[in-house]
Amino acid sequence: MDSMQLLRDHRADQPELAAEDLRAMRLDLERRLRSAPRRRRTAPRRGLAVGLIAAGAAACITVGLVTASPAPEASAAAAALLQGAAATARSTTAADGPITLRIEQEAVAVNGDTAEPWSEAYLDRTVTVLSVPAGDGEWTRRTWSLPVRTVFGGEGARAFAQRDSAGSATAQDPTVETSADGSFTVGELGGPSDVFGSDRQALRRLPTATEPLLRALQTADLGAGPAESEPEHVMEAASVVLDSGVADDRLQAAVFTALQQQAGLTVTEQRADLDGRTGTAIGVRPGKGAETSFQLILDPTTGRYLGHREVNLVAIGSVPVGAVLDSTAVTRR
Amino acid sequence: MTTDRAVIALSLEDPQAFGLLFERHARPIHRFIARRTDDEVAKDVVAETFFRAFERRDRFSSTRDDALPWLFGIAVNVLRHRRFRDLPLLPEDEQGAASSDDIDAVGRRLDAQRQLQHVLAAVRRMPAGTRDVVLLNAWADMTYEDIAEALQIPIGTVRSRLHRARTILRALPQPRPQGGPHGLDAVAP
Repeated sequence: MDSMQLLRDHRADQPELAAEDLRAMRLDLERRLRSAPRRRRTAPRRGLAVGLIAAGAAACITVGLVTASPAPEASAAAAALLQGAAATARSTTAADGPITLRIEQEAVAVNGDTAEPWSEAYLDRTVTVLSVPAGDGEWTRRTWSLPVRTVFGGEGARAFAQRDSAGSATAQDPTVETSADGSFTVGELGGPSDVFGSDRQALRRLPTATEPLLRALQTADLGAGPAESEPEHVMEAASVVLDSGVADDRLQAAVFTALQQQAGLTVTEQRADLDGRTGTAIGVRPGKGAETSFQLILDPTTGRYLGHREVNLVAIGSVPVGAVLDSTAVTRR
Repeated sequence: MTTDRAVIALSLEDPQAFGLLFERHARPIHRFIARRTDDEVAKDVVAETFFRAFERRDRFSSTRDDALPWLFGIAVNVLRHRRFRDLPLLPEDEQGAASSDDIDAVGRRLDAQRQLQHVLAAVRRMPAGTRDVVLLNAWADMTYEDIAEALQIPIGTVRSRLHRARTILRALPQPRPQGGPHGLDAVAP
């Protein structure tokens, strides 16, 4: 039997907490609550990290074109870029043919075993190559790790990175998964997603008309992601579509068109690095207290979607302001 | 039904309202912790989890209405500060000392138990952060998004930790195919 399934089944017959125990524990809790002081509500805290230090006003690292006040839709510069991206997606000839997606991700991993977890962190690097057949057929996903190149912290952080990444799959010996429809057992990267409905195939049925699609992006269930605002929420939902092997070129073009109608989007950085490629970042002007900035990266020359990234706006532990905490670079063929 | 978020907001003025959250979510958290430890430790951890959650309720920041991932995250933190034996081995009398007369069935069960011990040992050796991700996924049926919310880590980190864990688990010895020799005396070719 598969080891993961064996683990899932282990002690699955653990009995539920008995009703009388539950009642006694609740009474005990309520007794403790009665003596607790009342509190005032404070502003909600969002973002990636537990214990992000309240470091005063968030530092805005954006450069280049930033609108002074929110426009009714995406700023002119952002809208022009998005229009170019839509045109590029529409002109792609790979529609209905097989697709290969190469997705390179970097994500911050922090050492939860230390008293100050963010004092030791590194960027974990993985590559996923997704082969999507034309029509119905078997999807293949190959995943492996790349050597760590970014470490936050000193010797302890380097040792943590080394220890943590030991045993990862390599390019020579990748993890290979296959699936009839892209619904891989673990992980939805590149495959169907339940972001747009409990049915994982809902992504395939997204409307391509601008207004309904924009509404779908606005109401997508991203869980408690790092989005700070509606425009960031919309960009994140859009990235799920754009990173997916499910979305055809027509839907991709429709996403860029819908984003043009989203208020609050602007060019936040003219020359943004993403895995060695330079593009223009579209994001949101960070509000007070923002801890991270989510950005879509587009090639201003070709109009190609390069991927997305999340930039740190408040220093925490060894991780400085401006560090890229999470990035996904996508190459679609 | 009142959402968890609304219950938490109400409890800022009326602390007793927090008891409703306990009623809703104590059982899955107890079950998860009990699978890792035992019933008594689990009861203790659950009680502490909800009291800590109550103390921090003004910082509940999820955009979702469901507080369960947040509570799981607190429970995992509470557990980390306890002295306990994570993933205890099975008692001898549960290790396939079968009453069945079917020798093949007994053999298969012994193989499965042996494989399980390898799996548990491997999970126990994983870094704490990876172990938490694996067990929340396997035993609490949590999605990547929920685990990221619970442990307050990026979803990419959830993916990479699970990927690493699965690689480790895949490399473990597999039981022999059915019909082959079973038991301790079986010799691999």
